[in-house]
Amino acid sequence: MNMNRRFFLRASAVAGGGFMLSLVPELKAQGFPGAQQALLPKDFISIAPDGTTTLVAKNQELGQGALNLLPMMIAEELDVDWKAVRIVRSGVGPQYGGQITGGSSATPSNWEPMRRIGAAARQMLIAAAAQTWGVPAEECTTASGVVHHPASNRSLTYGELAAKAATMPVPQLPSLKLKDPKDYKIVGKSTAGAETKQILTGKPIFGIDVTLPGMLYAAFEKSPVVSGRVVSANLDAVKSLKGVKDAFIIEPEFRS
Amino acid sequence: MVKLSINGKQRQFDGDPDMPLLWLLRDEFDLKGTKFGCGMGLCGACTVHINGEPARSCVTRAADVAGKSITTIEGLSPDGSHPAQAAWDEIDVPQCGYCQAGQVMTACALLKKTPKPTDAEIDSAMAGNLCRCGTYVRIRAAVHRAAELSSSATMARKATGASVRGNNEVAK
Repeated sequence: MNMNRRFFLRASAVAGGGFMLSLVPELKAQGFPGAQQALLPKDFISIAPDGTTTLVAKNQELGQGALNLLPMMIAEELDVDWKAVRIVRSGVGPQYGGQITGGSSATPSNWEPMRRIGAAARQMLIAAAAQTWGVPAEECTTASGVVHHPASNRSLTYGELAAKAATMPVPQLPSLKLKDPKDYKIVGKSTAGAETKQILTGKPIFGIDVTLPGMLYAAFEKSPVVSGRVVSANLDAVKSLKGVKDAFIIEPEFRS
Repeated sequence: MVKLSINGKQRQFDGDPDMPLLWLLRDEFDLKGTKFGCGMGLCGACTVHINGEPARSCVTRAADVAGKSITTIEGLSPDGSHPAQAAWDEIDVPQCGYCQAGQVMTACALLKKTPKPTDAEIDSAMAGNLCRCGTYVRIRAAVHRAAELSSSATMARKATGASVRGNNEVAK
């Protein structure tokens, strides 16, 4: 087939359209509402007594900044100082919803859920403070990791409130009021890469760096032609090499 | 048997002498900082120093580094305080970060020979190190910054006799 420019453009349009369609279930899976499992603040936020706030980045980092972006959304509504935030990777689990970074989906699909997670935790911290002081929650405000009660001039840090806040009921996420964008302190700002220091000192943070006990490496020699079949292979010679456990031929599944 | 020095430690290897240095570093000596990119010496992700010269470890045989001295990203400094690492950190160069160990190693080799490189000298020296995220503009800025940190550290050391590391922290 002659892959001329015109054909290329048409193929791209089809591929692009197909990709957009494939994003729909992805958005649903990552998004809120409609996620198969409700996202919970406890899976994303932990606050130490000294105020250090550990936020979980649930989507993979591929260079787009997902490792920062999602925690930034949480931190914004949680109302903490970004300097108090530590970012950790989530690992994989159904409690995190969709975890794919790709197709420009990670930011839009997590934009609302992550902010609501942060807002829910903030409300639980306020509830803990209000209960401690015996005042209505509506009279409390927050700023940079502190709950204030202006009427009585009292304050408690998130660190001081964290243990009690964890026992407060988790609010209904859709009911939460989110910040007006004009009040954003973190979203829209540039933040330093969460793993920059590890990258620059060669720490084993990439998939290729993972080693597990008894792990073997596989190398796959692909046929240079579609549906090609192996004519001959020196498997015994390969198997006799030091460290080689096995060598075998994989027959093609589809043949023309 | 291949004997060599890796990050100042004497090491030996009695496996296949044709094994690329990259896998010697990663699999035999568990130094995962050096990355596999293309395996053909085309992308620069696997760059290390051999006797101080930048080299592509993926196309360098173990036998060819016998008796030589290898430096990897892990061996640049004990704590990430080498001027290039400090500059890369300050400018927050990495995005995904996969190519950056190679970028830093190439930049260090450039700075050793050319302490104050021009944009053109940086572009020329760094041309063989590819970055899919496209961090080239920050890489160039970081090389300039590393040159500044190196020279201020050198001047301060001459003036006070203090260590490079201490002065980098002051410079930051």
